[in-house]
Amino acid sequence: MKTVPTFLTVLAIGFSASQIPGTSQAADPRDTLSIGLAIEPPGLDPTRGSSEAIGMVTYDNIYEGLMRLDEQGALTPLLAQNWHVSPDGLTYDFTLHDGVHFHDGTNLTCDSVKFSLLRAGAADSTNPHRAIFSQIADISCPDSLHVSIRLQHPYGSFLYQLAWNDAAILSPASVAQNISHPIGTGPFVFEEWRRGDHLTLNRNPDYWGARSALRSVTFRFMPDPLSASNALLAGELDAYPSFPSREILSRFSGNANLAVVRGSFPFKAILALNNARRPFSDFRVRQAIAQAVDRKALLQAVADGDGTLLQSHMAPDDPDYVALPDRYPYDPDHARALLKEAGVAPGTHLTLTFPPIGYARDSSELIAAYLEQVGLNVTLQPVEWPTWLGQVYGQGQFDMTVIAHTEPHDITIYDRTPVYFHYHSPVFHALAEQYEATADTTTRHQLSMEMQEQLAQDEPNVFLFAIPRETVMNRHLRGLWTNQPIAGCPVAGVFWAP
Amino acid sequence: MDKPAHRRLPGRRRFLGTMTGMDIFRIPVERLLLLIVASLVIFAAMNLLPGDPAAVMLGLDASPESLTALHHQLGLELSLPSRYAHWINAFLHGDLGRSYIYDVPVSRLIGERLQSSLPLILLAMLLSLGTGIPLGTMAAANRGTALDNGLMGVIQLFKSIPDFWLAMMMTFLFSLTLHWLPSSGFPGWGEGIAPALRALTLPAIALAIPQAAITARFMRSSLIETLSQDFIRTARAQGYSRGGVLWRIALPNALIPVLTLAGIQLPVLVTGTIIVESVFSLPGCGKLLLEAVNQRDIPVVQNLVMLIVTAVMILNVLMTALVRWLDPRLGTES
Repeated sequence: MKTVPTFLTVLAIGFSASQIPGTSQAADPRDTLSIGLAIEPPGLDPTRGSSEAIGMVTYDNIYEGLMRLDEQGALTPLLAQNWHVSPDGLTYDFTLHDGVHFHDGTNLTCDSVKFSLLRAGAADSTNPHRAIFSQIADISCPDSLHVSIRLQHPYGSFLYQLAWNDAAILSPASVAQNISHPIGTGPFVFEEWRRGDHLTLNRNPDYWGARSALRSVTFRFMPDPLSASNALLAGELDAYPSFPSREILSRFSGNANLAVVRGSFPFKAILALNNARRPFSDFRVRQAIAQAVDRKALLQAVADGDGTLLQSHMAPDDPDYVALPDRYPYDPDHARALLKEAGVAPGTHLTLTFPPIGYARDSSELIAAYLEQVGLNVTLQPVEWPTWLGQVYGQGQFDMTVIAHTEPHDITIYDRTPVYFHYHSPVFHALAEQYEATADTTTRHQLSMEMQEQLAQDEPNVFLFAIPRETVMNRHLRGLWTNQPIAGCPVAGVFWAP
Repeated sequence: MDKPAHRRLPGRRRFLGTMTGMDIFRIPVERLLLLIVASLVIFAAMNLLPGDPAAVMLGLDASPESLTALHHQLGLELSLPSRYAHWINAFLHGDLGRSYIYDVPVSRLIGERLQSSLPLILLAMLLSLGTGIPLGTMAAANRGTALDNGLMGVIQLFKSIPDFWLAMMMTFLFSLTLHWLPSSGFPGWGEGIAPALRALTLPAIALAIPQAAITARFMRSSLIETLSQDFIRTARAQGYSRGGVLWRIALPNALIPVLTLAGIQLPVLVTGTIIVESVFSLPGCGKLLLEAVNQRDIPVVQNLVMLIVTAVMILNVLMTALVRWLDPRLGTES
C-alpha cells in the first residue's frame, strides 16, 4: 500500500499544476482559431482529387480562383475584377486584379491563369473535372492582366465551374509541391501539416485584399464525434462545422460557451435505383417504390423531422430550387397495384446497398421495411466506403442504394454517361444541352426548373430529403460560414467578438 | 524441476548463447515461413477486398477517365502476382513505397506516427508492470487476508471494464470536469516534454489498466506458486526470515514468468493503440492503420502490418532469450 497508488497520483498532481486550458485569456482579443473537421484531406491539391476535405482547408484560404461562391452560394468575382462573355457564349474575357502575389513570391498574371486551366484539361490531368476544362479551345493573354478564354462549345456553367476548388489558379513555379506544401494567392499561408492530427495556416502578410483578423488557424482532424465533442467541451476546439452526429449534439445544449448553429448545404438524400436493371427499368416499378415509402416518417426517424422532403434533385438552398408538388405520395395500396401491373411477383428479391453513415443506415432499414410491406423481399447490404465507391458508384453494380449527393448545382449528372444509376432520357438530355449552351441567367433558371420537373416526373431515383447542416461553435465567434454552398470553410472573415 | 538450487542472480552465460545450435537453425526458418505467410495474408486481404483505392482518392465526383488515369499511375492494372512481387522486392530493399492517400513516403508517415505511438506503448508498459507487479506481490504476501480479497476484487473489476468505456469516463473526469489533462490530440515533442506527456497520460492509463490487472493476477499466482516450492522451504530452513525469502529469493524467481507475460502483452498493447488512439485522436500508428484500411491505402497497410509483425517477432526472440538467460533451467528443458 505504500508504493503503488502514489505513481498515478504524482503524475496527475504534477500535471494539474501546469495549465488549465481556456481560462488564461489575456485582455487582447484572440487572434487564433481551432476548427475540428471530420475528414482529413488526402493531399492539399484540389486539382488532384475531389475529396470535400481538401476544399474545407484550402478553399479561399490558401487557393483562390477567378470566381468564388459566397456563403449564400452566389457567384462573385475573386481574382477577376470583372468579366465579359461574348454573345455566342464561346469567349470569356477577364480582367485580373493588379498586385496579386502567390505565396512563393511570384506575381499572378494571365500566364498563371493560362497555365492552371490548360493543365486542368490536359490529357494526363487527374483533375476531377478534366472533361470540362478539356473543352477550352485556347487561352490568350492580350497583356499580363487580361485573360481571354475561348471554348470549343458554349458551356453555360463555365463561370460557375471557375468558382470550384479544382479551378484554383496556381503558381507554375510551385505546382508540383502543392499536394504537401500548397501555394496559392489566398489570405492564409500554409505553415505545417502533421498528418493524422492537425494543419496550421498563418495570416498572409502580403495579401492583396483585406487582411484577416486571425493570426493563425489550426484545422484538427477528429473523425470520432465523441472525442470531437470532448475537445469542444474542454475548449480545445473553437468550432466544428457539419457536426457528424445528431445524437451527441444534446451534449452542447445549455452550454454557456458553445452554440449549435443551423445552416444549409446542398444535401440531397436519394434512394438511387439501377435504371439499367429489371425491374427498375420499368417506370411503374420506380413509381411503386416511391409510393411504398413514407418519406415523412423517414425524415422523422433520421433527423427528427427537421428538414425538407425532396421531389427532385435540387436542395432548397439552391437559387434554382423550385418547390414541386409531391407527385408520388405515400400510398402502399397503389404501390402494390403498380407492382402487380408491372408483373413484379410478390416476394421478388432485391438488394439495398448502403454506405457506413448514419442517414444511409437509418433510411435503408426503414425503406427495406416499407418495401416488404408491399410484398418485395429486400436484403440489406452494408458496405464500406471504398466498396461503395468502387462497386456502386464506380461500376454501377447494385439494385438500390441510399446516398446523399452534396455537390452544389449538380442536376446535370443525370445527363452524364455513364452514371451509376444508368438514367437515360432524351427529353432530359435535350434540356441539359440547352442549359449548358447558354450563359443567360434567366434562361438557365427556366431550364433548370424544367429539368427538375422532368426528374420529378421520371423518378429515376426516389428523392428523399434535405437536412440542415449543424455547426457547433464558440458563442463569441463571428463570421464563420454556417452554410456550405461548396466544400469550403473560408476563415479570412472570422473574428472574435469581445 | 526436482532439485533446483535457489539463486538470486542470473548466471554468467552469454545472452544469446543460451540457445542451442538447433534453436538458432530452427528459429529463423520458422520465423521466415511465418513472415511469408503473414505477407501473403495481408496482401490477399488488402487486394481481394472489394473497393477501389482510386475511387476513394478521387471521390464522388470523379469522371471515368480520371479513374483510368489514376489506375495506371498507381500500377493497379498489373496482375496480382506481379504486384505482390513488386511489393516484397521493394520491402526487402527497405522501400516502403508511397501512400496512395497522402502521396508521401510510407516510411515518413510511420516515422512521424511512431513519435507518439512508441512513447505511448512504453508508458503503458511501464504503468502496467509498475502497478501490476507491486499489487500482485502485495496480494500474494497477504494471501487469504481481507487485503488480498479486496485487491483481487478491484483487479477483477478493472479486467472486466471495457477500456474504451474507461477512456470515456476518465476523459469526463480529468479533462471535462477537473481540466487536468487534455481530452485529445498530441502537440508533438517540439512543444516540450510536459505537454507531450500530458497528452499521452490518459491514453496510456486507458491502455495499461486491463494489462495491469492481468499482470497483477499473474504476479500473485506466480509468487504464490514459487512460495510453495521446495527451495523456499530449504531457504527458510537455512535461516532466512519470512520477508527475506519473499523479497530476495521468491520474488526474483516469480518475476521470470511475468516477464514472459510482458512479452505476450506487448503485441496486445500495439493492437490496443488502434482503438485508444482513435478515442483520444492521437496521431499514432494505430490510428494510421485504421484510417489506411478504411481508405484502402494499400502501401500503408501492407508495410505497416509487415513492420509490426517483424517487430513483434524480433521482440519475441529477444524476450525468449532474455528469459532463458535469466533462468537457465528453461534452456535445458527441450
